[in-house]
Amino acid sequence: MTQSAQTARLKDRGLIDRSQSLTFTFDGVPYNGYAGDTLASALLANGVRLVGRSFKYHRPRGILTSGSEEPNALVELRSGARREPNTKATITELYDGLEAKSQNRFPSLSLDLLAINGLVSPFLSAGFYYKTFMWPASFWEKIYEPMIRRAAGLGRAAQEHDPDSYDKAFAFCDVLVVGSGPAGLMAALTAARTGARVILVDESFAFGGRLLSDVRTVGGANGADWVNSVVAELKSFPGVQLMPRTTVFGAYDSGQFGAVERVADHVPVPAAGVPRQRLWRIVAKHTIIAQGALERPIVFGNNDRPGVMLASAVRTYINRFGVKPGETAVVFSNNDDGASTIADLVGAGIRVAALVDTRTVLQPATKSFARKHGIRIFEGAVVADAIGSSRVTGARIVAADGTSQNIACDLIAVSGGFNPSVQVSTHLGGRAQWQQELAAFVPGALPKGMAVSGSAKGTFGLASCLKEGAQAGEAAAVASGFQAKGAAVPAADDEPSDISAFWHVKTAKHKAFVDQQNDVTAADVALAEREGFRSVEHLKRYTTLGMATDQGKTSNVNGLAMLAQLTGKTIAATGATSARPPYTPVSLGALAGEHRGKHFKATRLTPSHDWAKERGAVFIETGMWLRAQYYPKPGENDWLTTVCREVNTVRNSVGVCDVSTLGKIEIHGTDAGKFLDRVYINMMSTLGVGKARYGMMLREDGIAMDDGTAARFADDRYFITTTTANAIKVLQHLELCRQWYWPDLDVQIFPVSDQWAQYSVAGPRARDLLAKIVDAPFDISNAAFPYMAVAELTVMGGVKARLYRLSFSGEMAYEIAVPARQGDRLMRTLMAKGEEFGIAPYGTEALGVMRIEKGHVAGPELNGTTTAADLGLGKMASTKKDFVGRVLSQRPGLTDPTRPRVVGFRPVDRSQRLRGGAHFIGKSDAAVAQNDQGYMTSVAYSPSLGHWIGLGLLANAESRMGEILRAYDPVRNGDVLVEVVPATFVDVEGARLRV
Amino acid sequence: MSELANHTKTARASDLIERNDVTVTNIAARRGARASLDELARATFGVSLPSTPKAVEAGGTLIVWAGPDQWLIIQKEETGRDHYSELAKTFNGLASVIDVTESRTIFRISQARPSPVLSRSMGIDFHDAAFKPGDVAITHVSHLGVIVWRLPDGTAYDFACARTYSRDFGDWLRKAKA
Repeated sequence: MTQSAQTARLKDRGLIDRSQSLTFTFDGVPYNGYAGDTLASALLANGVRLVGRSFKYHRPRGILTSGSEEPNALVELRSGARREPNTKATITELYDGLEAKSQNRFPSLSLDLLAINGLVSPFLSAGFYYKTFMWPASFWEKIYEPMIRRAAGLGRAAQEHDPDSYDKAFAFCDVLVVGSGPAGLMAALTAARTGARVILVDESFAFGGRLLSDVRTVGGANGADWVNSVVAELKSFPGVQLMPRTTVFGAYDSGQFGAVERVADHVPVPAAGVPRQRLWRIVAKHTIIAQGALERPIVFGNNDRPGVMLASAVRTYINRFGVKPGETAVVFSNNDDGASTIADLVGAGIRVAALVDTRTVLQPATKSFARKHGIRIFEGAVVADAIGSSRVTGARIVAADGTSQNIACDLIAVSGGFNPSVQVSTHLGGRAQWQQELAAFVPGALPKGMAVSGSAKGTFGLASCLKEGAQAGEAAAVASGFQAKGAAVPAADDEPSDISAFWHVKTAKHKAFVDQQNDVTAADVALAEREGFRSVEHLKRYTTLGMATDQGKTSNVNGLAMLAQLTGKTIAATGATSARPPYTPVSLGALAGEHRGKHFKATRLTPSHDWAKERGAVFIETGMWLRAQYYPKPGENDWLTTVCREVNTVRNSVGVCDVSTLGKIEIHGTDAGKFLDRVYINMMSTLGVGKARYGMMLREDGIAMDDGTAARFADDRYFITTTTANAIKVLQHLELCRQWYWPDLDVQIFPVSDQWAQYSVAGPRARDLLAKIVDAPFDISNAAFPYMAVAELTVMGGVKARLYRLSFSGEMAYEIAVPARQGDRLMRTLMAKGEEFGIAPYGTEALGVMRIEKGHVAGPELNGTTTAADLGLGKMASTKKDFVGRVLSQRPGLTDPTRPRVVGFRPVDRSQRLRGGAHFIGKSDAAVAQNDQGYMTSVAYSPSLGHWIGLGLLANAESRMGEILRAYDPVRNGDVLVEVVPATFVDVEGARLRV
Repeated sequence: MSELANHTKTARASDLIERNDVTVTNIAARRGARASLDELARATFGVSLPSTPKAVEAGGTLIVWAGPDQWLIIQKEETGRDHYSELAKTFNGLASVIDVTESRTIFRISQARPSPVLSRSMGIDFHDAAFKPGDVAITHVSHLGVIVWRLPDGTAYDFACARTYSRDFGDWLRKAKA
């Protein structure tokens, strides 16, 4: 069956395109609808009323609303990797091939076995989490929570990667208009006519708001035609951007708004290159919030049954979608919306059995209309209960005199009044204000540059909305510097909007729902109040009222009004909870945009990356960098073989390592030396020109931040390096010091990490190799260029370069830097010229092995918990000057002599492997936390020594040389006896550095 | 891999190019030397150093505001000339001068107006009234820091980003320009 009857489709009305028939499935059953339908309207057209099951009690649910406030009609849309749970059928634009499934039911929508939850509901009342599942505590994670999650919850997320793309975008305007009902359209039009840049946003795929849903006349034309003419005029202005299918979900500082555009949610698969959704940041000089008002239900028994629908939604389905939401209706209201609704129902040929109004006296016009059409009127009455289970079959009406009678119907249209959509206007902290005469919260103090217009402000008449929108549009344009053009406001009538607040039918016999999405009942609200949860904030958290994905758009005000009744306070004194962004849910995909997978962060490559790749290097990600980890040669089958060869080559001949990733910063100015004295623990102002010095910086709290070298090229010109990991952090720290702590110093700071390609050339033949590339007359002899010398020179025939005689490996070594674009050439040249020495490139692994052999600290030791003294560098700290972190480094806790310090370790059985992270405990102590004495920070297999070695942090380290400890590693079942030894394993005197 | 694979080659794709024929020198005024530096700059270039986010052109040299009391001096490469050394010598004592030619990659889009896609892809209002010829903005794009300027003659937009981020930025720019 592919052709369905659309039995509930009206012949003569609706803004759908009947020439475009669309096919879709719901729970596998094929149906037809039309372009311009939502999934909800198409389901209703096909007579489908039961759409889902509720969160907690698995009660049958239908369609309550026609908008993004829908609490019930939540479906899984699409399938496979594109499956999207909790999609509101009421705003899902119908497309050909749409697949939807009901959710939260087992085994099927019509027979849901978990509906038994409704029978055990006394145990599932407000706060049941806190009461029922308290003991034993250990059951929570393993038993209770998984059990609850299986029974409750909504929908299933896709398991596969999202195949679609998401985009981020920016827009700028003079006037942002949010919402395109009568107020929004007039605001946009009036502003646009002045020449202002205007953005008009609406969450629907069609502009017009309620003008599409109600039968109204504007400027002599019917509402929908007037909308079309305004949209056409708006399109004619080059400075106007129309954004349908877009929700402004949040207001942020300085006139910024977050919005999500559903670019391709209305097609099965986005076209090539088209994102599914686009996240917008809109920057507006002035903003007019014209999001309208949302109708709220009245809380009565079984008010969640399929067939109970908001009166305004009933009119939307009739007028906009040409759908009969039922055959026989009872209208239940406390305001004049009931009158408009019976008129439209009658107009559509739907029988109206009764108009039930809580007010005691209705308008004469309403009464005479009702009489004319045989509609029974109940004044001062209520619908106490809906009758029926999987769909409404009647209404139990309790009349003013207390008598009760059942009236058969399959639709109960309910209106408890309107809540202006104040959410976005309060995102920046304004509090909505209660207005008793409107029985509504209206916007409070507004952020600068924002105005609220129309029913979003509590202005409910059409004529007033048009006028107010025009005024707001003109005011915003004028404030943006444009000339008012004098807006002609089209003629229209203000509809009656009398209301008498009414919230909850106390004569209900059945469960009466306040928050339908979270299954919070009137009894839950009363229970919370009895148990002392009497502030709205407590009510919300205890019952979860308003905490579902609809954020309580149809429930919050009812809930707090009921609380006010229970506590005997006014609604104004009871107050409302804060609405926070997002206004409606935003997919994580849209928030992530393109930043997923490899695009999550940039990938930084060194200048000779391509050379390393050609060479077959294995790369490792270090932060954003890709660094060569080791360079396997053909025949080398494991990394350790390669790394040992690389280390041996450096120790015996010469190796070259790409160290371009080091942070590099130029520090210039007449006070550069003084500045560095204040940021390093050791003295830098005394450093001679042409010399380098190792240095350490502390954080303000006295903990070691980073280490590196400082080189001095002139009195007022230093160049410092940082570790790769801390390059940006150190730069930020230095800029903070320069700009905020000591603006009086003459210091200029330039980050130059990317300017230079830098290579470490290390080993006994390093000088022989470099001698081949330095240009005459540079003298690279040990006498002219000793350990810790630095120079600017040229290499390879005129290439500007810098040479630093520094060593991390412990060998005689240099670091040579050339402008980045020369890096590839320099690497190739070094390799070619070094061939005669048997040169080998070495990667970060060999670098690590050699620094551990030398006992040099690195990231694992500079880990944010260690002081200079812990690292064995305490003596470097100058006592003759002040520096960042000095004072707090003297805290008793940081100077405690028993603090763990860096020391060396070797396995007692030299054939055993050491593991980083292993904890030290006494040789005969039990492996329990109380006996922990420190842990292994770095380990390496030392080819120089032929066994594993390690560095670690150990309490009282200095006095324990030779002691045997357990290195206990429960994660990898390691338990090795180790000996405490000095941290330097190779060339203890440092003789090789200076040759 | 993009054509910037080793990020040193020229990316040439219609009106998007990577500018590899220029030297870029960063100068920053020494403390208290701004007035004398400005005087010297006027004598050297014939224009003042902008105090606001502006780019000015003088005899083929583009001076781009790059932060308070800091500028990028962008000059066409000339065989046999060392722009950096000349500037370092000229401004010695009044400004700190460093060669940042290889620190940044400069992309140029030769368009009088950026495409709508590019316009919406950055947190810069590219509307003619908002981002005029000679305007400069320091911002970030897709998590990448970038300096953007519109040439004083209004013929093109330049985007300078850190060199090692330029592969990612270039990918982004090509996509945004499309």
